[in-house]
Amino acid sequence: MTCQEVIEYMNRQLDGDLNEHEYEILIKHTRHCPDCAAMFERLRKLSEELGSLPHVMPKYSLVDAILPQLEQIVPFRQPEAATMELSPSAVTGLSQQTNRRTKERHQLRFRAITGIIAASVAAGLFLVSYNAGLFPTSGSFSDNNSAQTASSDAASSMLDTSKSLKEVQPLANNAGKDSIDSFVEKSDTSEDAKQFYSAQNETGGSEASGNDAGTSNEPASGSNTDSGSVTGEAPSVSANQGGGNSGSEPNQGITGYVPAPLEAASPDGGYIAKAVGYQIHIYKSGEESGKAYYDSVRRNGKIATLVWSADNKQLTYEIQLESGGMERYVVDVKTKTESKAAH
Amino acid sequence: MVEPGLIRAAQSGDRDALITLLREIETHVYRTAYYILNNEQDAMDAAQEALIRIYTKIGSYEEKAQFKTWIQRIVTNICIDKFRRSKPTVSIDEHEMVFREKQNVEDEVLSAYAVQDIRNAIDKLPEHHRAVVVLRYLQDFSYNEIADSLDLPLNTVKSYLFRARQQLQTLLHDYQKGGVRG
Repeated sequence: MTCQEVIEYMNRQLDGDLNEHEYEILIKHTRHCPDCAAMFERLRKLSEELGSLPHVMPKYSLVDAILPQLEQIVPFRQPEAATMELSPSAVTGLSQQTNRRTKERHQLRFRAITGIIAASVAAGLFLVSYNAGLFPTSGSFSDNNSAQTASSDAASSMLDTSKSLKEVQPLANNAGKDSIDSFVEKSDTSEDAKQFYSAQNETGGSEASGNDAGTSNEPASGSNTDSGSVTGEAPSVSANQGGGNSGSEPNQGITGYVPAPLEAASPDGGYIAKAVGYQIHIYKSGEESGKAYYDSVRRNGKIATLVWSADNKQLTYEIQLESGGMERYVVDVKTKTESKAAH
Repeated sequence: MVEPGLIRAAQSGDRDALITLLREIETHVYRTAYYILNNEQDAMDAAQEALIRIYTKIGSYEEKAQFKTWIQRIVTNICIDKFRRSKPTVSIDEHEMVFREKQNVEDEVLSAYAVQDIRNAIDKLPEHHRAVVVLRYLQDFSYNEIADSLDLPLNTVKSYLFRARQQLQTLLHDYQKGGVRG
C-alpha cells in the first residue's frame, strides 16, 4: 500500500469511516513509516482543532433584525416571484422590492374596486336601456358577448325581484362579477394567467406610472358616467377590456380583472368574502371598505374557489398549491376559526 | 434539530411557527456563514439573506430531503454566490507566501494552532473545499449530508475534504515552523 493510499485511510479514520481491518492496515503502515506517522499525527491534531472551533453566535438576533422585512413579504410566493427575489441582491434591495410590492397591492385593490364599479354601472345602465325598450337596437354591447349575457341575466333577475333601482344595484353588481368570475377562471387554468401575472409584476417595477395611468383612467370614466351623463360609453369600455385580452394589450386587459375574480357573498347577503393574494378577508355586508370581519390564515398557494354553505355559517375555500395539489379549508364564520377540510 | 411538526406548521401557512423555526436555525445558519466568509459583518448579511430566503421558500421544501441539509444548502449557496468575487483564494502552492507575513503570534503555544490561524487557513481554501470543511466540523455533517447540501457527488466531497485537510495541515505546519524561525 502506498503512502498516498494510507493518507486516504487516515482521513477516513478521522471521519469514523474505517472498518477494523482497514484500521489495522493503517496502523501497521504508520508503525513502519515515520513520515506517515508524523502526517497522521498532524492530521489528527488539525482535526481536533477544527472540531473545537468556537461555536460562534450572532451578536444580536438575526430574526428580530429582519422581522420588519418579513412583515412585508408574503411567504410561499409563486415560483416566478420567488426567483425575482432570489437574485443576489443586497438585503437593502430586498426591502425596496417589498415596498414596491406593497404599493402594487394597494393599486390592485383600487383597481378591483373601480373594476366592480365599472361592471355594475354597465349592468345598471343596461337595465335602464332595457326598461326603456332599447335592448334590441343597443349597439354598445355588440362587440362583447359575455357582457351582454351577464347584463341580460342581471336584467332578467332584477325584473323578477324589483324595479326599484336601489335594490337592483347589488344584484347588478353580482351579475357583473359573475361574468368576471367566469373570465378569470378560464384564464387561471392556463399558463397564460401566470405569464400575465409575471408580466404585470415586471412592468409594475419599471413602468409602473405608465401602466397605472392607463388602467386607472378607465374606471374613472366609468364613475363619471355614474354621477351624470348616462351614455353608452361606460359599458363598452369595460367590455373592450375583457375582449381586448386576447388582442394586443394583454396587460391592460388583465389589470382590469385580476383583482376582482374571487369574491363570494353569503346566500343571505350578510357577508362578503374576498380573496386577496394568499388570504381571504370576510366583510360584513356594507362594510367592505372598512375593516374585515375576519382575515383568514395566509395559505401556501393561490386561492382557487370560495363557496358559502347554504346556512351562511361556513365558507369553504380551496387553494392551489405550488406543487400542483389542492387543499381545502373551512372557515366557521361565527367563531372566526378555520380548519383543514377532508377532500 | 427542528421538529417535523414545526416545519409542517410553517409550511401550511402558520406564520408564528415559521418565525419560531427561523429562530431555531439562525445560529446554525450564521455559524456556517461566519466560517465560510471569515468576516462577522458579511456573515450577518449572508445569514439574514438566507433566513429571508428560507422564509419565502419554506413552501418548496420537500420532506424527502433533510431539513438541515436544505437550509445549509441555501446558506452555502448565498455565501458562495454573493461573496465569490470579494475573496480571492490562493492555490496550495502559494501558501508559504501568505504565512510569512504573519509574525505577530510568536508567543503562541506551539502545540496548539491559534483559532485565528485556523480561520485564516480555512479562508485560503477554494470555496467548495471551505464549505465542505465547515459543514463537516461546524455542523457535524456526514459525507452524505455534505453531498446533499452542496449538491456534489459523494466522492467529490471526500476528495475535497481530504485535500482541504492536507492543505490546512501544510499551511499550519509551515506557519509553526515560520514562527519558530522568526
